[in-house]
Amino acid sequence: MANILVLGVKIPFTKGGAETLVNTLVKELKARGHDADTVELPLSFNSKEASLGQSALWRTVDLSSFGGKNVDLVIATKFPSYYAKFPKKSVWLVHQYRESYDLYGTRFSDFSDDPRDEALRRMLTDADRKVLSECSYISGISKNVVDRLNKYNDLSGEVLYPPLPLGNKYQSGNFSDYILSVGRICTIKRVDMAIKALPIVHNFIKLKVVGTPDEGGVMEYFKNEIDKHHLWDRVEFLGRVSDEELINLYANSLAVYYAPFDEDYGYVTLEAFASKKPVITAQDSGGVLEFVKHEVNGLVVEPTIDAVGHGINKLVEDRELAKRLGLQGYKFIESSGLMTHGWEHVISRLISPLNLS
Amino acid sequence: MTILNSKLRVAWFSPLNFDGKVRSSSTSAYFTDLVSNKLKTSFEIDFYTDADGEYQGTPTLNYLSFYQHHRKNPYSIVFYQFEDSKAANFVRMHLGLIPGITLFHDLLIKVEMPPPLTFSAWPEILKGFNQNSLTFPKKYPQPDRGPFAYREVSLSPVSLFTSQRLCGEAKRLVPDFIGSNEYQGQLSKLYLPMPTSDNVQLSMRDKSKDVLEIVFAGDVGVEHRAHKVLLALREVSIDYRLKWLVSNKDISRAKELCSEFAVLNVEILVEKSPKKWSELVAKSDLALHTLFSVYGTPGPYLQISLMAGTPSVVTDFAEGEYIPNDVVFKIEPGNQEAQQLSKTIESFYFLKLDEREAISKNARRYALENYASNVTAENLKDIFLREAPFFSNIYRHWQDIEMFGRQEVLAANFEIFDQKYLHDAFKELGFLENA
Repeated sequence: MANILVLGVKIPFTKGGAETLVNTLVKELKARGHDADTVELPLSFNSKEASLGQSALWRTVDLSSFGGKNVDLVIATKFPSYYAKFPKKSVWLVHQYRESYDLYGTRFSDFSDDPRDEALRRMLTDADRKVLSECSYISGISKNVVDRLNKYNDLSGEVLYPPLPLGNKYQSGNFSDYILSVGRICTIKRVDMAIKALPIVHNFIKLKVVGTPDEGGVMEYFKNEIDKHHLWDRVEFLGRVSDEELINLYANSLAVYYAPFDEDYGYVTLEAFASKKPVITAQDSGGVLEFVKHEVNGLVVEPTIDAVGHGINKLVEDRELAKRLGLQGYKFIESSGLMTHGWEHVISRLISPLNLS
Repeated sequence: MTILNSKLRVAWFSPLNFDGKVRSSSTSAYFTDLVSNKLKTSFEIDFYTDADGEYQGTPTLNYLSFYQHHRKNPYSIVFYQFEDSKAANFVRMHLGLIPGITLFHDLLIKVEMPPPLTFSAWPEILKGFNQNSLTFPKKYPQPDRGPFAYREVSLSPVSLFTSQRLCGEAKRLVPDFIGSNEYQGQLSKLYLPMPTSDNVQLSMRDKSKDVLEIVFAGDVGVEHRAHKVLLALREVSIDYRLKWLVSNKDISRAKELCSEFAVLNVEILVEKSPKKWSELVAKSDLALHTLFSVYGTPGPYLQISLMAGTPSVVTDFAEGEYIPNDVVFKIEPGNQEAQQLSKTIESFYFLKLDEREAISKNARRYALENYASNVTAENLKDIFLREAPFFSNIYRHWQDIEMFGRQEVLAANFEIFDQKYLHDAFKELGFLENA
């Protein structure tokens, strides 16, 4: 059995899929007899230039031994944890510094044609390639993430989908009159599209939003939209909820709205499927589209308010369709192994560098 | 013995038609299809886009990886195609990162720009480059730039235009451009005709038929004069049929216009593309190109009509103005256009067959001389070869801009990397290289 460190990046006061992934991975490693723990450094971007310092900081951390125990393997996850220097390093890439890659040129990135921005982008791209090439094993949490590595860094990796954090505990209940949105609340997750779609959705349908904001001003923006469209009784912000509450919310929703821009992976999709609920997503939602197929297990609509609204109405007006799509999603997740036994494969691949001499 | 590769390397930035997946609305992709293959004997071309795919049997490269390829094996020419389309937004982003030869299909921009360019550094880059004084402000004010492609023209040491009018307007509106202080040839803004295929289907319409087959590819916007066309057709006293090729977004409005003007013998055809137009125009008697726009261009549609040898009516303005009178029928803009148009259509209807034939031949001859894709390709080849030495000079100076950026980024991190343990990490990660 090995001593393994899972390297995570902590943005204080927020919690998202990456934190869940790190914690679950440690738990699963321990369950297989390894001595595993996390090492997390905080990430704070007061300026994008600070990303260089944050990367270099990981480079300086000595991870070789703690409390008399030698570390056998480190598993890096998201930027910039993979800058850590260690002889046996696996990466299960969640994402890189996306503003300089796939988000470049979109409203989600502030890298412009300023020579300083371009210099920074090149420094990060070159350094990413260097430190990721050091890894004994490279993987990503979705095809989308692995494709980005290939496209921007000329590196190949294996796709390892993270199994569901709550395994087979998800349940299916009623198809009640609400749409569920789960995840960090920030611009790129586009919860606002669902809020702004509500005026064209049947007025007995509510939107329940689980998650906390991790971007300044976003809640004020939502509240303005709610005021503007008189949606006070139709949108409910639930904040962070317990696992039991989350299971219950999924179980009784009519459908799950999950349409972020170019998502890396998205547990939400699979949690919805495990709860036999269809997912409403968008044509540019990235990793989500590796699972959601239009009118097979969900709806893939244009990333517009109207299209989201019409998509929701379609399921409201045809609950049999909602049930049928949800069931297809469940069949997929059941056969994929992501609900139960998927961890065996994930862990065997991530610890494969231990077999190297 | 070393064998030198004599082919110059060209980085070609453009939306593309991938593997049969046609971006029918992209003029740049159409241009690339027609011209790039003809340049491959003279140049080694890499295609850069923002999408994955294969083009002409070779994988395309992502535009963000350009600098890596350029560093390994420098390009002599970076060639951009600019158009007023979201598909070309990545071109807009990149032409601020390294200057090149830019072919402009548009000068007026209506689509939303990539948001990160809202505070583009281009006025300072231009000034800094031309005056060798690199003092950039901490934050750029949003320039009052209006709807024109000032930034894009200014950042292109050599700008080409597929419309003569746009070329003239750019010269008038944008006198200063990157490299202008050392440019000797005074050829920085040039007209390069929009090409069409030499193999375009020739007009095969039986000209003795009684019903006049008229075709029109204008969109529903007022500049294309659909309302004038419909008004003119309502007035003509001949037997005619109109086929109107529209983009899918224009279908409803086109139908509304036809019913508004009570013109019923119209067939509205959808999915407008150069290919469809080519097929359509070959089976018609008369093509209408009534665009009246200061900055709009007819795209490749007028060229296709002329190449097919189909007699055409144009507005005597912008592109139409430059075409000789014995090649097309001209309508004076802004002066009872509908009446002029109906008279022209009727006169054409009553022309003798040999008179129609003569116009057809003139159109074809003119198109072969001016719009044949091999003519455009030859022109572009000459420009590439002529400008390559100038660009090697530009790129040498451009390194100062890049170096400046790098130093500024490091200056922002000075307090961190000045500490011994982080300094070593900065060095190891390559952050201190070339700075």
